Amino acid sequence: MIEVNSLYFSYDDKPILSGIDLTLHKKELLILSGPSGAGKTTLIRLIAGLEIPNNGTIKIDGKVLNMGNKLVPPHQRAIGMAFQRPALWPHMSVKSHLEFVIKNNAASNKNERILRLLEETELTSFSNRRPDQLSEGQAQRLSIARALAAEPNYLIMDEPFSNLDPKMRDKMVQFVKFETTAIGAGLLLITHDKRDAELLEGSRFWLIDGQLHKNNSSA
Amino acid sequence: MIAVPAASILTNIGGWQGKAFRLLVVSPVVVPLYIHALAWQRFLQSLGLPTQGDFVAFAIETLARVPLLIAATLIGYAYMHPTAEDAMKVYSDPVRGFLHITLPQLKAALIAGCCIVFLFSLNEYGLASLFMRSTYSLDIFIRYSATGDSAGALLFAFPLILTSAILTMIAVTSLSKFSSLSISRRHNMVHFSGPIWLDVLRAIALLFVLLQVVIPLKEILSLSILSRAPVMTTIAIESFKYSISISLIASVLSIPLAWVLAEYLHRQSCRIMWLSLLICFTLPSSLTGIGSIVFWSWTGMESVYNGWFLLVSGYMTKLLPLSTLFIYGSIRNSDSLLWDAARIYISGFQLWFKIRLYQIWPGMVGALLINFALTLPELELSLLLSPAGKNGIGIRLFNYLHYGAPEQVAYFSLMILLSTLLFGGGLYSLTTHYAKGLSDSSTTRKTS
Repeated sequence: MIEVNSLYFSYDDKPILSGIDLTLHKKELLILSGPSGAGKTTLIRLIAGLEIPNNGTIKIDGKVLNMGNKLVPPHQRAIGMAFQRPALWPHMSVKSHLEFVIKNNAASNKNERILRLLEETELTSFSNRRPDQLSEGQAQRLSIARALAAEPNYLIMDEPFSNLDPKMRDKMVQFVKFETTAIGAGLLLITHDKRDAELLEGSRFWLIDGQLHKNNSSA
Repeated sequence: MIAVPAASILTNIGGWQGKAFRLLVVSPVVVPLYIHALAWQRFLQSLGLPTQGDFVAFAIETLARVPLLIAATLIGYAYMHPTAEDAMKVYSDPVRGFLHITLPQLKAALIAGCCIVFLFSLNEYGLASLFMRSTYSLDIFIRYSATGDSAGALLFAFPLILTSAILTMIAVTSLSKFSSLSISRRHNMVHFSGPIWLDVLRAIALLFVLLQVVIPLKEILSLSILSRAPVMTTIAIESFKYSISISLIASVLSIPLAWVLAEYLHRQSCRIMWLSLLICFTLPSSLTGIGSIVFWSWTGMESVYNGWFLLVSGYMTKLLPLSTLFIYGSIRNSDSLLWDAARIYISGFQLWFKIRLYQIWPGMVGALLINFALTLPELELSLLLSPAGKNGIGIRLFNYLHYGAPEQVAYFSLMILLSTLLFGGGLYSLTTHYAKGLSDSSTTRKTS
């Protein structure tokens, strides 16, 4: 379980998040929405360990991840993450991205999983291409596949479907939902799209002016 | 081995402190090798260690070249996108991430940097002659000085030209790898230390780099400020003024030419054109000097041949590739959409002055500063191209070193350093003024 308690974060003395409390269980789908600049990306970066909170605690499976300025590094948090931009490594091919992320599986399982992810994200014929040879949509699908590849305990996704056409978008939403359920992961997803939220059928939260609300009307 | 671990620490220091620290560490690039040699020899002497020999020469040259490779590595880091680094942190530990993600992305900058360092070391002869050693490029100079046979010197230098061409081509190929990327701003990223052995290795590398900054500076300051020896002779001051004028003229004149070339190369990216341009920078200065002499020795060109412009033209040949590279870099890193958007509303002089000049301004200022810093204490070209009776400060300092007058060397080295800082400060204030002028004019237009 990811537990965020009384989280406070400011940038240049300007408060971005204040008093955030949030819980995400395994197998739970949690959807986060809110206006631009409300602090959604900051919140998930804090959970991933890419920013240091000013106050409050973040726990994953009972382990406190931040003690003052000391953080448990992101790679030790058993999370998968899809960033707002695809954040691909320019020197690696599509397949290498997935191979790099899946470290410990047996070779046959690893290959099987890579092939399946490539197939589901319709990237099989692009597996040897590098990021600069992909369209924006293909790059975003690779980012989704990479986040799922290592079968993480928790999946954090920041508007992962924004560059996809409507048909592909629906397909990827269903794929993420299916895959998350199959591996038993908890999903925290940022999206502005009502349809994404409906398809995922998760609990919905709004982040407005640095504060978290269970439903939109309370804002 | 020194530059990459040291740069990995330097790149993680944020804020103005980080910028200042990086500038300080890279700044010895502009200090001539013979000044490094003087400082290190005095330091070694104070410790009772040997000050002569091949190993000492090798160690001094290696340390003196480290800032250049640090600069190359920092450029490589600047081209890495911060979100790709964040993704690396999520999916791998620091060592694996460094080996599989960071290092491959630094490869292009490192190969280009190593090629340039190799060529500089191959072509340099000021340091080697101080250590009483003969080098290939020194032999070219001596052979030409003794016989005046330019064709013979060129033939003798052919293997060196070939090596320079091959390595320059490798550097150009590596630099072209940057083409699909752009420099990204790095905001307050959180950094995680690796295993202890890695941190120790990085700390040792940074220590070497800091020594390379501190020791030359300390020796120059202690010799020039604490020494009671008479340091300022009229003739040396004249040499200094002469060098400043020549450096300023060559630096400024090379900029418009470089701009034209950079625009051309931006539109028609031609590898052969890059090669022919960059080889002017990587060839030994003795060959550039011989080429300038041959070029300007036509009938009717006597006034140039016997005057100050011969040296200016030699410097421009050397500086043009570097200036072009700086301005080209600025064009590449500017948003092409801004240029296209501006073309819809304005044209002609306004378009070039208010949009393009603003876009290339950082590269132009950087080129001016590095041009000035490299030419002011320059030695090799001055030896060949200075008109009779006119010696630049580089020749004067080299003679002082040979005849055992370190106080004079230190004093004028300090003057060179201060002049460069003053020039850099002047450029900075001009930049601020120019940017303010542009923003004021746009505000006025909006208000009216």
